[in-house]
Amino acid sequence: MRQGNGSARYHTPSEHESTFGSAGSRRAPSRFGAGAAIAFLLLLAWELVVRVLEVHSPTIPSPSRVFLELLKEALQLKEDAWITGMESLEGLLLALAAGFLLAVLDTTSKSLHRFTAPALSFLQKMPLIALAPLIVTWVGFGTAPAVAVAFLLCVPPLAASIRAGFYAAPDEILEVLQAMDAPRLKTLWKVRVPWCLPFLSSGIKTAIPLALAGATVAEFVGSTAGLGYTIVYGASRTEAAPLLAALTVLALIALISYGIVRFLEQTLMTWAGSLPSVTFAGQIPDSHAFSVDRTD
Amino acid sequence: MVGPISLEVGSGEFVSILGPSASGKSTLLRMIAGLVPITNGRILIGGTTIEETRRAIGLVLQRPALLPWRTTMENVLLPAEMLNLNREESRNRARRLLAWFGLSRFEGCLADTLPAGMANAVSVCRALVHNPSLLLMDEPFLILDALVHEQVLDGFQRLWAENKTTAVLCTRNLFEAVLLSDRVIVLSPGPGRILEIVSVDLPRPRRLDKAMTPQITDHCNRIRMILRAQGSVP
Repeated sequence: MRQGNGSARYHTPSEHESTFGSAGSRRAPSRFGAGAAIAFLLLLAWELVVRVLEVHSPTIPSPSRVFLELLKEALQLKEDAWITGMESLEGLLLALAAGFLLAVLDTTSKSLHRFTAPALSFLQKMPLIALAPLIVTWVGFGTAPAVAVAFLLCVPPLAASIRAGFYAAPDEILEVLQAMDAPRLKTLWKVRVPWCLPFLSSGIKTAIPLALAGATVAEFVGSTAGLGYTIVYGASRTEAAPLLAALTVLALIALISYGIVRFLEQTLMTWAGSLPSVTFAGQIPDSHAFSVDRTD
Repeated sequence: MVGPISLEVGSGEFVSILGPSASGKSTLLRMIAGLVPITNGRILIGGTTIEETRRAIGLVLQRPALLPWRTTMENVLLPAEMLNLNREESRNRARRLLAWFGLSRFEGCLADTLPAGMANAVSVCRALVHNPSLLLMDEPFLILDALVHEQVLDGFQRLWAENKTTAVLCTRNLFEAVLLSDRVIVLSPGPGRILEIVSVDLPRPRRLDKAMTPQITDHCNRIRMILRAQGSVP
């Protein structure tokens, strides 16, 4: 029985839609506003401390210096951002394909089904990023290891969320279709895949920072380009300004990617808001920098 | 768990399987639908085994499980899409089915915006849209409140009279069983075996009017006595 969405059950369609539209758009900006205000105050405090105490160390630059560095190195940073961004994206997309394939096989094969859940759960508990140097020694220098590490870090959360989404489709509808001998692939495509989308987007939101972290760390170890390289290079010269500038760009990429996924979610999956919120809990890692609960 | 059961359902007949919980009603129904393997015996539909007649089955379960991103109409049309049936014909048929329950004005609404009882009615339409030769229902109206229940049963009764699809209904509701069925199969507590088969030879459509209601109540009482003898009802 569908008790979870009790509140929405008796709404007329028009009421229903308007509740959706306003709930999402009204609360989000205020939260964002509060966050931005706090961040601004912290930066201001930092700037004041550096200026008042006359800190001249290159390891503690003021935010304004970092900002100037951003402007000065804009072209270089843009190039770095493109490299790291593309590596992360490729890793993430490959992981998406692998995760999807794994989840499909999981739903079709009983023996695999018994194996995938513990395997994914194990991998999610492992600090896979520590494998980056090993992967560089295997794959070699350049962009390939970055893509590989991003891929490696993204597969477990993506596969787990897609798999969870596939199994979230109610047994009843699957039985109804099975009883009429509906083709299995069509059932997958028309029922399981759409049902999985909210889970998938939640998985992608978890995977975005992982992909960026994976690509960056791989660049620390084995690359001469990209934001990761700029970061270690700055660190090796004990110069924090270029390092912080690169970190700022990295953070911006993460935020923008998150925003894009969130936007797609809100425009393509309005129906998902009416699903019981339990559906979205209990998958993948519980704590992550950008994992936001679905109730907002 | 299902005990030894031998049962024949005629074409165009409406049969209810009535029994206390855990008497194996659902299991029996799922066996007929080919969802649960049979350990012993066989089930023939129109003289053939389930594997050959699959497509001719419409299934309605307790929870309607409509797809929330689809409209009412699109939900009803799902089986037609799955089986590649003619779009226009299926749409017309879906429209007629929805009309029986007075759901025409909800055609374009997202399934999640429907009241609970209506969602159950939509799942009945979904089970009939591909014109199955056998309709199987597992307590499809269990969660409805009493008023909506009567309303949906009335719509369903008229719809069924029109189509005469062979139907098997599992239920724990005496009134529902008597109102809809030609025969009521009364099962014992699990593992279920047939206690008695009660024929309901009342004319259709069965309305809840002065003449009909006492007769329906009589049948209900008869079944209640059978169950009471087993200690299934107080």
